[in-house]
Amino acid sequence: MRRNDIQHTIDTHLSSIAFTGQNQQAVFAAIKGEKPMKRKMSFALVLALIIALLTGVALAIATWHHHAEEIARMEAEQGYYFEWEADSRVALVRHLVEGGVLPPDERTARLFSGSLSKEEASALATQIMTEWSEIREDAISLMSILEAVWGRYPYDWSDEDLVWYTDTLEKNGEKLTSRFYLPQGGVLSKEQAIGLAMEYVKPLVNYPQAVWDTYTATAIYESQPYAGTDEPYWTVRFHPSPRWTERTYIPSVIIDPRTGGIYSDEVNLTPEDALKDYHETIAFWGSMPIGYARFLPHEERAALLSEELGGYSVPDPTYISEEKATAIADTFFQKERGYTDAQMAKLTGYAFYRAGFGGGRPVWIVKYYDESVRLPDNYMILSVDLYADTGEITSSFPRE
Amino acid sequence: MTARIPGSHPEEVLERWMTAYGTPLFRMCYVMLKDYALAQDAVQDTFIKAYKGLAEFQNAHPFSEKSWLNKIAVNTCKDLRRSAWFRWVDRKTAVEDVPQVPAETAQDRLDLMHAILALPIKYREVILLYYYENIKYEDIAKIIGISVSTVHSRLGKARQRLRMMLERGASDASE
Repeated sequence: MRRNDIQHTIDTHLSSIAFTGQNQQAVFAAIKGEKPMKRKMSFALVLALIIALLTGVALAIATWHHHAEEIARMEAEQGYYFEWEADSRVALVRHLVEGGVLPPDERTARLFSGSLSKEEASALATQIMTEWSEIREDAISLMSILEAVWGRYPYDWSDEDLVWYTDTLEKNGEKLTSRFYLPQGGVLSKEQAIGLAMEYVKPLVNYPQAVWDTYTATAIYESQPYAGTDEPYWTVRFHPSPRWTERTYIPSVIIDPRTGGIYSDEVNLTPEDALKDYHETIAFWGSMPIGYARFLPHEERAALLSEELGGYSVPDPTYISEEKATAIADTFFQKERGYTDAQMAKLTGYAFYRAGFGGGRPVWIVKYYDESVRLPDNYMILSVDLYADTGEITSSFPRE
Repeated sequence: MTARIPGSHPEEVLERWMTAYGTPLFRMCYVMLKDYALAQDAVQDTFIKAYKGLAEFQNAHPFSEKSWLNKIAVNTCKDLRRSAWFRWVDRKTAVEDVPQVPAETAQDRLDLMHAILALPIKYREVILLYYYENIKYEDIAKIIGISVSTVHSRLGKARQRLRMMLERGASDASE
């Protein structure tokens, strides 16, 4: 296996994925505290709006959808833009102009004049496309064009545009991972779905109202054909507002549109559920396996943590016991740090034995979790390390 | 080794990072998450976090800037993998989401791409960091939070699985 093989394979297959000027703008907007995903209103969008005002919104949307369908068909038949012949590139620019999203100008007039050689036409079409969509030639695709017009997929698209998108892909014979629908036939409305999801998640994640107030909820009505079902459901997602703040992930909620039943496995996660796929999960978390391993007996904890982090083992019976280590830790937080009995009672302590840590001496690491927050790995509140032979505290979290 | 960034304006540094590393990080996040929108979230979050941590990085960080950005990206992808949304959707099928292969691409490259995407995440992660991002063993160990010897052994197992999948066909050997 050579590096070049994998690099070339990934770059070739994912050539349509590129970090664009729009992505950069989103990042800069976020660090400046702006609402970043609102795109700067482009001339194209202004033109689209003018057309919409002049001829009616529905007609403008229908016009653009018609041209976008043609672009989708070209992509399905010819691959991505960078593979297209000059005639197709020119046709693409024409679709954008006629669809009302690219303003005609001197360059488009020259492109459509028929006076250019194939090479010149191809180069000019690419120049127009890269400037308009702010992405590289090898990243131009139906998706990048639609994102340039409608904003980020799927969050910024209208329900109607999402439905149109998957219908169009399907017409072109593409396999769908998601299919979008408009709710019909007495199912829950979007507002009802969001209300149910918030009602369900709020008490489970336990965030103060002030934190909740920074979130907004979005709902998408979709199915997962690849998961073996075309039955649509509501997916309600929660985003911090503005979206690009340092985020805390609130689990999404899947809702049965007819019964209001909740299918959010994460918020129902029990220790047993968490362990179902722990081999993969723990390996992936890297620095966070302890959170999962706390549910395991010592032998399994040691085996798991040794593989992932190194140095963990079963406790040496000649040193202080787990119970004693936990008692020392309890005392430390109560006497040295001022935690009350009531505060400590809300937490559950878990002791992990690690050999050869701390200058070669074995240690107990006692970590306290708030188990009322039903996410498996993220709510370690307190932690203390102590030598397993003497019980002397070596470090603690949080520090004083 | 301590990486230091020449005394340029933070936003210039950020822009340079995004230009130099944005696309490979985006592609790496896509291979880790198998979801375009999530990968886009992840890579943008990565740069926001990097910007916020710039001062710390400039002071004294044992990574090259590339390794540091990769560490942030890997951890951001891990955060995203925790969401119910991610867990609910059957990611194994997302192999089909990979953009179509250019006509001139050889079939063995298609097979290799499918095999990489079909690897369990812990192997996919080391393959990406080592082969795609060209990061050395020691930095991979720090990025993932495992020992260097575990990096070696995981890479060995990952290569073995890839070979097996390429011989049998990726779908047969994936988990």
